[in-house]
Amino acid sequence: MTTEPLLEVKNLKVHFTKKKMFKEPTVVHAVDGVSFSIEKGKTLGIVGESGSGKTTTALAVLRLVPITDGEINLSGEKISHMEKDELRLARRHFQMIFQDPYSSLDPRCRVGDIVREPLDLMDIGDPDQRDQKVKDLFEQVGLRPELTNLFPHQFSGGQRQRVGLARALATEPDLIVCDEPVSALDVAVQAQILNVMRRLQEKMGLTYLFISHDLGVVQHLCDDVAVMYLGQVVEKADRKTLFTNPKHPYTKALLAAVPRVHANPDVAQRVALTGDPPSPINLPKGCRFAGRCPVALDKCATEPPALKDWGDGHLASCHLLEAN
Amino acid sequence: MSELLSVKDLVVDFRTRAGNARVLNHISLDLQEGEILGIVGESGCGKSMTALSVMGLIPSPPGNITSGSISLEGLELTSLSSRKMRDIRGNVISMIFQEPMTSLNPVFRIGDQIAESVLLHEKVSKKQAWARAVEMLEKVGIPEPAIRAKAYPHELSGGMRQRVMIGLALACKPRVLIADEPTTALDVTVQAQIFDLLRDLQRDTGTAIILITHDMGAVAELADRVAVMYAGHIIESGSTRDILDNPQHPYTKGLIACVPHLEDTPTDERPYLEEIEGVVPPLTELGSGCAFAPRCQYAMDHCRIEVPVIQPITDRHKVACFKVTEGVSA
Repeated sequence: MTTEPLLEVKNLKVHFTKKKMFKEPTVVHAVDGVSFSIEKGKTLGIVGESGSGKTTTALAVLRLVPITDGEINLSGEKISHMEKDELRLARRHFQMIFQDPYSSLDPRCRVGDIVREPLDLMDIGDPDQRDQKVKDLFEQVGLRPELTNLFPHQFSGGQRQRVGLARALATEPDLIVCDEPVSALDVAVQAQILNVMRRLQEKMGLTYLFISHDLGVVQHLCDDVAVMYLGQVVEKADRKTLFTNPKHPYTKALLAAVPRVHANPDVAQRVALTGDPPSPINLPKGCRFAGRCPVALDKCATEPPALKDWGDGHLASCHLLEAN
Repeated sequence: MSELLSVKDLVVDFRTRAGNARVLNHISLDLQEGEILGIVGESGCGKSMTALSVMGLIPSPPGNITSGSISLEGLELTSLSSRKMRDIRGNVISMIFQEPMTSLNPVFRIGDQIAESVLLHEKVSKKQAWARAVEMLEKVGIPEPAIRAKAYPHELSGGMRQRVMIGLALACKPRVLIADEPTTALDVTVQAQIFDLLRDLQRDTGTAIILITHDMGAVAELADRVAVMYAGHIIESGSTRDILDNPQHPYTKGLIACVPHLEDTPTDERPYLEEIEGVVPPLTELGSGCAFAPRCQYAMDHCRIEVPVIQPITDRHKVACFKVTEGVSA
């Protein structure tokens, strides 16, 4: 049985061109040929360092940055090529939760109005139904319905993030794109929000595209994980496979860099990555990771490896895997 | 190992419009030579205030050290004049901050910023100070230090800037280094580099480090001992392994259990995370009794009336919780 994926991204490219006077324009290859799909009710995590293009990928899926090339399909509809009104109406099916709960809520708006706004814009239900819907949404995310008349500054960070979640849920979307939704929160509050997100997913069959740099959180929440490096997916697998049997040297280094709380940290064994990722403007010719890779071959500097399936949908792009 | 820094019964109050906020409530800490002490807790628990008190940087007004003592190798810091304190700060005790971009001056070359600190505290020529700056940059692993010393902060990546901050803090060979969330703004791979660097520097120079963090992983990786803070109190302290493997205070337990820790062999089962209900209360609204009682699932009537005092349960492991200490004495 093959299930139709809810979201399908094919060869997505987002390039930012910066024009310069008297000089060749520079091109930032923020996202450079990314493909993935998510089945309904599942969570795909995208991890990577800052500058790897994970946030740009999320914004492109939401059609918030211009797409250079590629295709995005949501429930069979090609949202990557929609224009204006058609896109505006389609937006009710994909919503977003932002990283910073302080700047993502309008300080002059009552939180009830913030959650209600999508309903007004999409013309869903009559005014009484909308009021009721806002109250229901507040209860679903664990806020008391009588709080709707307060302003964002009267809430704590965790409560604000719940408001953001309620707003995202208002139009009953199929897909919610979450860009680092818990990284600005205190650890105890982070657990509360992650639990709310999971309960809602189980109850409403939501699909999440979850962007994070926190591998612990991704391991906890996601069904599938894609690792990005410099605008490309270098490895993708289901959660269990990726964390027990990482294939790409970058994934291995990333996992090794996370401090462990319980296992005795064996510092000597850690493959420490040196340096920073190269600039996305002057991309290396071969494998983009070659310059920092502890096991790079001669071939890696000249020839980019292709993303290949190594069995059961475990994708990785590394010359070393082919050599073995 | 001898005692380098000792904080005893420190009380710090902030006068605010909402009333008096006791940000540090009878804190006692000690730091041995060459030791790394971790201080953990959520935001608003007093971690950074502890650091600022030791640095003599409590904003006053509204802040004020009400009572207690901070002594550095027998020298009482709380009664020192601001001029004398300035000689100590950056020289004997120095600090690295969370956000390396905002703590470096954007209009000065990084070499000048390090040299400035050396010039202030030591009798050296400008040339010698610059040479020291280059040497420090080399020590913290910046490639081509002589060239990079002439760079401005915006020309460096976040990890590089944090290295510069560490170089700056260590330029005068301090005895105590306070690192306030040194890697929170950085990627994990860069974080690992900074941890390695701190560990190496501590081994080579014998500098004692106070590591302030909310990340139990960072503590596990670096610290020898840990103090857990909640609402201005130290509620548990002990060796890193005591605290992480055998936490006693319900707050410490919650703090460890609520974070999804990365596992090397994840199972198919994914239980919901344990939650600590609610948030840290505003310090102006602390009632009587244990500050954690309103969020504690084990709270007894006793907890709401009296504040538990931190008591040893083993040789070095101390806890401030009636449930734990009464169990021991009974």
